[in-house]
Parts: sequence; structure tokens; C-alpha cells
Amino acid sequence: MTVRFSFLYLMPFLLFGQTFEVNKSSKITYYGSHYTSDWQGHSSGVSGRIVYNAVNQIANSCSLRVDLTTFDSGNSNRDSNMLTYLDVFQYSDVLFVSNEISVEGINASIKGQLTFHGITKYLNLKADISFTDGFNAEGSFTILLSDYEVERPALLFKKIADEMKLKFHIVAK
Amino acid sequence: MYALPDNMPLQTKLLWAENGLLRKTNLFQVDRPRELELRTKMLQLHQKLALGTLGLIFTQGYLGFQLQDATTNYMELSDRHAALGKVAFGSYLTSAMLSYTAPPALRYNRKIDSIRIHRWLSIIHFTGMLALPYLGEKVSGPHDSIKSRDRALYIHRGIAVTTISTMALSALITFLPL
Repeated sequence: MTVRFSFLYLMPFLLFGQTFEVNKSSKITYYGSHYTSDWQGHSSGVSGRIVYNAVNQIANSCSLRVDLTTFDSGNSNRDSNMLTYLDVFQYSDVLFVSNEISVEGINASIKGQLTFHGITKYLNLKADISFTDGFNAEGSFTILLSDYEVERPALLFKKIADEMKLKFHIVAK
Repeated sequence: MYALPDNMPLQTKLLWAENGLLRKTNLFQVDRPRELELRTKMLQLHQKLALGTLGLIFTQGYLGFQLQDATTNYMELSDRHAALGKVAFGSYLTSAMLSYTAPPALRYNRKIDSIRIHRWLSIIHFTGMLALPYLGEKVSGPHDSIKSRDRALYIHRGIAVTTISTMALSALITFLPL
């Protein structure tokens, strides 16, 4: 599994293109929901690279990794609980790899693979991008925790919602 | 990540820190992921039991107020109040122990969050719950005068209302998004 991840992670960089390093201004937010309350958790623990061809402005590929332990929802008990349910000792990162990014103006269509909780799924994402002062991408998508075989935490007899929205703001220079 | 948080609550530190009671005595030897699974189970049971206990304590409070104005049914109400008190006290202590003795979380915030306030409130209602059976005995015990009985009742009632209020607030606060 690790060899496969490493290969997926390195493969984009074998392709020719201008490389941008994702920096700490990047932010991923997840939106959790339960019948008692909704909450959000943020992480700036994003690392990775964007490879893009500056001549025809087509972003070739991207590899992003988020350290799950860096998510902070403002409630340490909930964060700790989430990490336990995500089996963070076994799967400490979320990985997104794409080699298929097409750009039209400020809109990018990204086809890639999201590896979360040890399970890889294909995703089609939309993002607003800009190349002023490096590379910026913003967008959101929704996943189902059950798709990634994540057992959901429960509060007072009821589990949190299966659907989870994720928002990303990637800054790379 | 396997490292224990350095800012865990005092009671957790006493039991689960590197030099904590459970580590030193080798009473409990499992790896950290299993500890966290146990923590989750203990806290979920704590939630459910605490909710039931809150119901029992509200009923107990209601019986207590009825007892104040009771005339012919005083003995019957008093027996009920005492019996329910024992059940509520047992249920409360079990629930509290599940929370106080749970293994440490992966991390604890340094800033104030709802769980921290929940813990602070628990100190108040835990102290109140420990005092209430004794204060109840003082109310029913022999008195030299009506004034002395009224004073014991006043203290018992005040501590009971404070305990119930902080318990209810403590439960409500866990539903806050932060």
C-alpha cells in the first residue's frame, strides 16, 4: 500500500511542468453535522505539489497530502474522537492525486483519486483557480464517510451525518 | 502521535500519565489505539448514563419540593425521596467514574472549549452530589428546634438546586458546536 501511495505521489513530478509547492496558507475545512449541532474543522497541514505548464496554462497534475491530526474543530474531545474513528494510527493522512486537470479561464475540472481511511476513490472536482502570485485553487466537494468505510461517531444514540462537505483553498508558490 | 498529551486533566494524569497509577502498577496494559477505543466506549456510556441520571435527579428534586409541603403523605414521600436518592447517587457515581477514569484523549485544547467548561462544571456538581446524602441526613436527623431543621433544609435545597442546575448546564454545553 505504501509503495502504491509513494508511486502515486511521485508520478506527477516525473512529468514536465512548472512546480509549485503548497504552502501553509492553504486550508481544508470539513463540515460535520449531527441533529444536535453542526460544526466545522480546519486544517492548514496541507503539503504537496502542483505541476503546471505555464506556456498553455494547463495544470498537469497535483499531489496533495493532509495530516489528519492537524484538523481542529475547536473541541478537543470531538477532534480526538474523530481521529479515533478514522483509525489515525493506521491511516494518518488523506491523499489526493490528479493527473487530469483541465482549465478553462478560472474554472478547473479535476479528475483524481482521493485516498482516505486506506480506501481510494475516484473524484471529479470543480475549482476556481488563479495564477496571480503563485497558484490558487478554491472549491468544495462532498464525500460519504460510508464510502471510505469510516464508522461514524455517535452522540446520544445517533450517529453524525454520513455526508461530509469539504472545502479547500490551496495556495502554492 | 503515540505520545501522551502533556496537558491532560489532573485525574487523567494521576491514572494514565507515563508515571500514572495504571502504568506503574501494570494494571492495564494495552496499546494506545486500544486505549482510545476504550475511551470512546466509556464516554459514550457516560453520556447515556448521565442523561438517565439527570432525569432521576430532576425527579428527586421534584419529590424534594413536594416533601416540603407534605402533610399526611410525608413519610411515604420521604421514603421515596430517600430510595430514589440512592439510585440516583449510584447512577451518578458510575457515570462520573466512566468519565473521570477514561484514558486520555489524543489531544487537549489549551484554549477554553465546551468540553473544558463541561469539566469545570463537573467539579461543582460532583462536590454537590457527594454532599447531598449527608445534607439529606441532616434534614431528617433529630433537631433541637424548627429553626435548626429549616436551616438544614435551606442548605440541602440550595446545594441540590446548584447541583441540578450545573448538571443540566453541563449536559447542554456538550451540544455546542465549539
